[in-house]
Amino acid sequence: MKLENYFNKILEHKKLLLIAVALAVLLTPPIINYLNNKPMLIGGESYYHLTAEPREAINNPLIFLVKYVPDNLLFILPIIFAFGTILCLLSLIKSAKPEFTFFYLLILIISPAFIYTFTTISAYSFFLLLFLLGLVVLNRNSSWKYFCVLFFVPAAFFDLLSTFLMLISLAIIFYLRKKDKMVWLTGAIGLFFLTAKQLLLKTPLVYGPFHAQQFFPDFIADFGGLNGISFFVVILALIGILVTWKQEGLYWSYLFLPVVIIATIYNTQAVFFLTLLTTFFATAGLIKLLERQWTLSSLKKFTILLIFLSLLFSTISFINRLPLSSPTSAEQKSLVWIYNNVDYETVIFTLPEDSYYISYFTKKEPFYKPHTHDEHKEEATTKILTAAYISELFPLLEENEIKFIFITPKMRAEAESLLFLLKNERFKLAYSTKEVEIWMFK
Amino acid sequence: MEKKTGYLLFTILLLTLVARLVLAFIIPNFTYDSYYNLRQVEHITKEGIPLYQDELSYGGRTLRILSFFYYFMAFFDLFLPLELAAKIIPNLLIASLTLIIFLISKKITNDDTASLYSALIAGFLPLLFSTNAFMIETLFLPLLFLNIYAFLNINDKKYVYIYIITFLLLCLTSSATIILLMGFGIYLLLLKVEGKKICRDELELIIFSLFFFLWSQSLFFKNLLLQEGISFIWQNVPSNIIMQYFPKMTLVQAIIAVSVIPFLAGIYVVYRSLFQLKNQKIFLLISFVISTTLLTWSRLMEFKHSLTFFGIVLAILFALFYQDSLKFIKKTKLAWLLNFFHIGLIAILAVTLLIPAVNTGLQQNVPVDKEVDAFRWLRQNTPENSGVFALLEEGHLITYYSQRRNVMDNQFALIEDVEKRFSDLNSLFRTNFQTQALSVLDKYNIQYLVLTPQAQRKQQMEQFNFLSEDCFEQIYSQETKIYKVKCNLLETETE
Repeated sequence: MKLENYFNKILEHKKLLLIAVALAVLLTPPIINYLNNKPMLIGGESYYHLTAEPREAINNPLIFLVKYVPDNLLFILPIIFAFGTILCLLSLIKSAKPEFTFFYLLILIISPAFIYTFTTISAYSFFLLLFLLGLVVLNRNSSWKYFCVLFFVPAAFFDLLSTFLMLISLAIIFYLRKKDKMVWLTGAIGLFFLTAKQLLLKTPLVYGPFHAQQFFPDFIADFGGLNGISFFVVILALIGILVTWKQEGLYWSYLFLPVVIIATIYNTQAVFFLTLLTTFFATAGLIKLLERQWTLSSLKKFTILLIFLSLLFSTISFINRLPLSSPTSAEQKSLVWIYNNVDYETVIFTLPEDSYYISYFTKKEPFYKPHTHDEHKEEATTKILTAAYISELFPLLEENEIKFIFITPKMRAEAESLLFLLKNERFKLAYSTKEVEIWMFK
Repeated sequence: MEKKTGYLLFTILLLTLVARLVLAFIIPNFTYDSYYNLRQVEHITKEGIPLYQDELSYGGRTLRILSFFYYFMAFFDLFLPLELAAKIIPNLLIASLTLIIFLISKKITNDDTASLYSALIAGFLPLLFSTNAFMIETLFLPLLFLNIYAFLNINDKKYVYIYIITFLLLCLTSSATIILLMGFGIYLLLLKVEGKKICRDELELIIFSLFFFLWSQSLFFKNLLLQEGISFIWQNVPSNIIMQYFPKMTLVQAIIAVSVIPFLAGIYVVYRSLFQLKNQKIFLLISFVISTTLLTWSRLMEFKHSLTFFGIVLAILFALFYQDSLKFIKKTKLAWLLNFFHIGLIAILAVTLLIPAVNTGLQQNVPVDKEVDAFRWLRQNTPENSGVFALLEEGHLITYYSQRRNVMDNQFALIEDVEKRFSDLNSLFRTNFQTQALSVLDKYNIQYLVLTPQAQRKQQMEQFNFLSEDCFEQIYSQETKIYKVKCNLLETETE
């Protein structure tokens, strides 16, 4: 059967196929977590949302929403967001070529950033859903389109980056529809709103980070990050940029590229938006390779197969790593022990990315949360983790009133010298299970 | 090809092979790095699979390797003793480069004589005269240039299949195949800049190659990528020895290594090709040279490998220089010199190639027989689960001849504490304190110390400074000394 016939058959049932793929990739992580007796939610950002102060909801409506969802059903929320997003995208880009719609959504759904964002309680998942719902309603020809405001307004209350991207997108849409007044109005409102958010609400530029940032692993998921883009998607995107850069209708996409790249370099949490854009170019590159007449048709088939195998490889490799991600069942058990056995207020020291689990499970204060950007605490954290002598360590622990040290396998690998110092008589092993330990500092 | 050319080419191949084999068998043993590869081949012959879980190296570690070279050599191990096959086959493979370089040069210049000179230079390139090196490069280089030859001929369908097959084999042989891909990228860029049309067939093969290479490497090195991230491509080499891999060679040393005449000829040809002729085939070769330079500059490729590749490309470019020189001389009043041109050229090449090549061969860093005997003695006279301490480069001798655990060798990938290990290894050669020495020996569970003449020369010492009769017993005393560790440090218990 010719390659084209294959794809035509697939395109006839594209909605069904995309939903099936989405179900498979999005349900696999919670199922794996369930089978491994792990908490159903992973990722520091999930637990940040569960323990954030209600006043922070002004910069993150998701905090408000999660308060109303029972804890044991929270893992369903991002999956609902995912299907809502997919259906909105299917509705919005139906005017594009069917193969473009299909491959864009397919590559997006199997991308590590999409899987991670839509299996954790992530602000960007809710933002994207709200924004796309607003666009779907805006596309209505009747007076229903004015109800888009109901979605755009809450979508504007996330971080500055997402608000900026939303406003730029709307301005471009109005420009393409030749509604110049709306373009100016969007620009003016946008400028005012962004300034007000920055000055009055102290909205962060980009959320997080909720983990210790490392650019390459966070950017390219194949290098070990729990987020990011597949390396093969990046290669396809480069091909896509080369083939599309002269196409007039796509100039607008290049406007977003420097913004999201710079945002990702500043804070790798923004890699989700970079994924959306990179997937676009990757799809263009893939379509070009599919449509091109190759001299050797067998070579073409083999290359296309390789591309799909490569994309699948990244997805499977990523999903394979999820069972190892925090919080593990041993970590949860240890933290629950603290909750049950330590009834006084205390500060607990651990790796910054694990601090959110401490807040949630122990209801106690961790020493440092990365998203707070507290330079003093960040510096103290680094000094504690790398302390080689008790004369360096003890003053830091005393000054910061740290009473407990929570040690995970990851921390064990990163803080060898600290572990050596725990043999001192002022430390007592309070609890230990599998490779997780809780040390008390007297 | 004319018969005469065929005979001459065969003569060059034979001369190269004979010279290499003579040197290979005169010089005893193999280079230090070769023993790791020998172990891999032995393991395949015995077990059918490469050694992925090595209980001896670093006291136990996981290896992630591309194994085609080892399977290739294991095939010959079925018919010949391994150490014999390991001397003959790699030298045969490198000698076959003369044929491949002749074909490439012929494709570019369509001149038999010029191509014969290229083959001669490639055959006696000093850098390639490590005749006792049982290394992956001995297969990689011929495959690489065969692949390049196939790429130059892709208008003929059969060469497309040759290209695909050689490329697949390259991906399974060494990750240095990235030279090709980077070279292709630079080649496309050069074509674009020069406003030349990019051939569809070439583009399609390049796209296929790119995705196949990335996919195959991701598959083999998935765990390495996940564990070490992007830094895995720097192979986890300890910072203190990275200068050995990327030495500051002087320009003079580099020119001698690739031979003076090809170097000068190469500069002339590159200038002419880039700025005057704009020959597309030369662009391809120049692109590969640029890619190896970039890879070496970013420390992704060892300097000596980059220089080797450069030297071979210069050998090919020499054919163009020869053609241009002949044309030039014919036009001048010195046309009568042509009668002596070949004799003069061969004489100059003989001096500038042969002497450095033989010199390189004779100066190979190989263990002497007495050192090997000491490691063999260890196998027969020590318990099986013993740990042995020696120089870093002798680590593979411990695992191959002695079949015992070593502290460290030059396979650094996936070793977590490589910097600390290297520091501990060096400290044992320098320390005067027995306690410190015993602490390190206990840490790595070492029962025997080996001090070879090589170690003595390298570390500028006669013996270990921390030795005492109470804790160290000399059990082997030839030129190589072996000590048994009798003491260990006990941890004091604290209340």
